[in-house]
Amino acid sequence: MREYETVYIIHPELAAQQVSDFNERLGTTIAKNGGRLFVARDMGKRSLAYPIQKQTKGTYTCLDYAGDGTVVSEIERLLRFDEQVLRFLTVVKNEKVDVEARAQEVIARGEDKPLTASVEPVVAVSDTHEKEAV
Amino acid sequence: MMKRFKDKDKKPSKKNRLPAKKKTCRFCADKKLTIDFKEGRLLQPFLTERGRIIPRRISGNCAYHQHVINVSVKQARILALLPFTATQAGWLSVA
Repeated sequence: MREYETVYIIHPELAAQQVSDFNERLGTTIAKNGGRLFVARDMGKRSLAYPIQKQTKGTYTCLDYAGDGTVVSEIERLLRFDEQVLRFLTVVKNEKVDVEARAQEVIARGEDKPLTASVEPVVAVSDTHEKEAV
Repeated sequence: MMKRFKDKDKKPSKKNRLPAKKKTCRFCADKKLTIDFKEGRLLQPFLTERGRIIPRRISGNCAYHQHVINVSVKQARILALLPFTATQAGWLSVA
């Protein structure tokens, strides 16, 4: 089984309850198709770098799950058909994943905590960069 | 040697310039640093003010990590965490 990560942006005016209902629906879809959801992480409401469908903000959610290709196609089908979803992206995180070990690791490393926009940059900006590049 | 600094306004010719300091890849130097497309803000040091990716000859990244940065920036752009173009204004306040 592979580990996938799907991030999607939901319409900003959708109520928090509706968002969590939608997330739950995706969670059950993963389970139904023989996958395992590690974490549905709320990334919060963020402003977009450019408008999508005339919206300047969006609610981000990140799903981290294991499964095979059918899970991904099913999830993406749901996201595509929902008009409240502005954008989504799925990436492969691991080619081979030990489901139980990874589930433990996610909890141990605190990856299930909500991710907010307030994370400070770990990498310091090198002062020479900007000048040379321009 | 003195000749080089005689005219302060003039840039030294290529011949006279001191050899550039060798830059090291910060991701190779510190294995704990991770690159994640979900953190648009962490990718900002590798972008110009106009949102373009800084080449590895300037950022000093190794080939492998520059490739990872490259892919991550492009993924972040799809998710509107980073802008595609500079005309997409007001992005600095985003991340």
